[in-house]
Amino acid sequence: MKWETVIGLELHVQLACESKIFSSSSTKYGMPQNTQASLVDLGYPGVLPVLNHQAVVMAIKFGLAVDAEIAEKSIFARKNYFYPDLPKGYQISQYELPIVFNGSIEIPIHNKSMKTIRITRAHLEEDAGKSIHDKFHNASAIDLNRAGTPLLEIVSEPDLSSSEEASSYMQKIHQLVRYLKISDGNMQEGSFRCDANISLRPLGSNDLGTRAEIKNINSFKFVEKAIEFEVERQKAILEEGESVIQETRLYDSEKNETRSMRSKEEANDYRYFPDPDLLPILVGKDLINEIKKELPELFDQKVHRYIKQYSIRKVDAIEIAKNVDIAEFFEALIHHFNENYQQAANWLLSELMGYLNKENISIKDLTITADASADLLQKIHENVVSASMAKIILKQLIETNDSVDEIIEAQGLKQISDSTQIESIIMEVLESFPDQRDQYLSGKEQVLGFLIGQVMKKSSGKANPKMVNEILLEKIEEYRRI
Amino acid sequence: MTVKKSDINHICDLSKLRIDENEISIFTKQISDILNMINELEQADTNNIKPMAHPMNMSQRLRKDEAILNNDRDLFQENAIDSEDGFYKVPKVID
Repeated sequence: MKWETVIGLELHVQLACESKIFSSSSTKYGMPQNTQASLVDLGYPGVLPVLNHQAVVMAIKFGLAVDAEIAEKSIFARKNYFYPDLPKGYQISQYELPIVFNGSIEIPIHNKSMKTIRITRAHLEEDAGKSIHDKFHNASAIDLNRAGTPLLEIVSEPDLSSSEEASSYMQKIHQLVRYLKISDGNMQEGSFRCDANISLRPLGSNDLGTRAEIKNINSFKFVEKAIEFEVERQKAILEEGESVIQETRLYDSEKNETRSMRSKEEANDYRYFPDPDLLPILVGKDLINEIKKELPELFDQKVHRYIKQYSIRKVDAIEIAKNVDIAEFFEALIHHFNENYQQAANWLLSELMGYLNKENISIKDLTITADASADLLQKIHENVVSASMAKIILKQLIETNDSVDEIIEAQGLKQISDSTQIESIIMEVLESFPDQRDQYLSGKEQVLGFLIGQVMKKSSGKANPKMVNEILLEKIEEYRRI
Repeated sequence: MTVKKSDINHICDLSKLRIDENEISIFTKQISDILNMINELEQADTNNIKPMAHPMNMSQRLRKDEAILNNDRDLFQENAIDSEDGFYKVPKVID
């Protein structure tokens, strides 16, 4: 039998707030254990949660960006379960009346067409703490710094039908929350996590099969692998004529398998009820309009503008706009260097990105400013430095605090574009290599490369290659007449 | 509505409560009584009444997003049954 895969994703996005969703503790990552857990985060008796304004604004921002409805009135609920990293015995979340519902987003799929994925809802909730099981011999260690960190859980409809589509959707949402600046999207630090609901049904059927929920997916690659494994597992069960059990499974990226989390089955009865500690959130039209005005330019608009306004090639526009940090660097770069936008794009994508990829760092970690980069581009544009010299200067720019001019001066990297000077180097070379010179003149034209190489070597790579080429041809021809 | 012994055991599991065998019948009766009362409430016609999430007709006040750095870990951990190296220590749990 042919099977159809049905996938819905739940994405947990950590909101880029300074403080927690219901307390004033800091959300800073990597601090010493339990130093950022206040009485509210620890669930002490008698404390009251007070909602973070910024978290509400960020949720609305997301809602507007995915054409969703923003609830005029939304409420918080308690999701009850017992686990040591959840001190209150319940997680404050939203169940009925989430703040954002009925949205959608378009994702690119393999044949370059677009597919609309419906977003059921996006709701605010608090994160739990962290349990560490290998710290102590006979006990689990609990760090509650993360408890109460603001999360936006984004739930899609089961509109995704392959592992590629799931990964594409995840990347699209990741890009969006980074553009909106509502999350840093850092997956290593757990700021962007994914649970996948997966089921199979006979091709053409309208009924949904029994699903398994896969937890603990924290990369675009793993979402594909986890889904591929799970699809094969369920297919094998169904083809044996057996049924899939509805359960929570854990993805183990080291073994590349999903396995049952037995202990969670019984507990899947969360007994949600409205949290009496929190009043309803009322969102007025004024606030929505205010946030609407502040929405930044998003990916599609940026690509469109780069092509139209700056006449940049589409592939390059897409490559630059893919990552909002790169896009912002590019815009600052061409603000200072406006001689040739495509040249700026080329330099950014090949030289600067090449450096970042080689060193495996992100553009945010770079100390080099767009200003200094523009200076360098200007020198390349004016032929003051050659492309190969520019590479050396870029490295120095990043590694020191010197300016482009200082580096060129100190290292003597200025390109030689003085024709008399180049001419004299060429004459020296032609006199030193008479054999090669004669070989060229007798028709062996590939020797020219050797002679150019010698000129460049003699000028320590600083001679303007275009001029070397022109003058060398001119001078060597003069020997023919002798 | 009848409450069975297995329902009481399920509720105890979910709430991590341990009760004696002879208490089960007491709670079965009490919970049945509560459910009967709720059934009675359900007779009321609520068709034209909006569900209420909170008895106070007010909206949530919001707090400015400002972090207050205050490390009272040592003080808080005095109340913990067990802690070490800044961590709370709990009986081993593994999924």
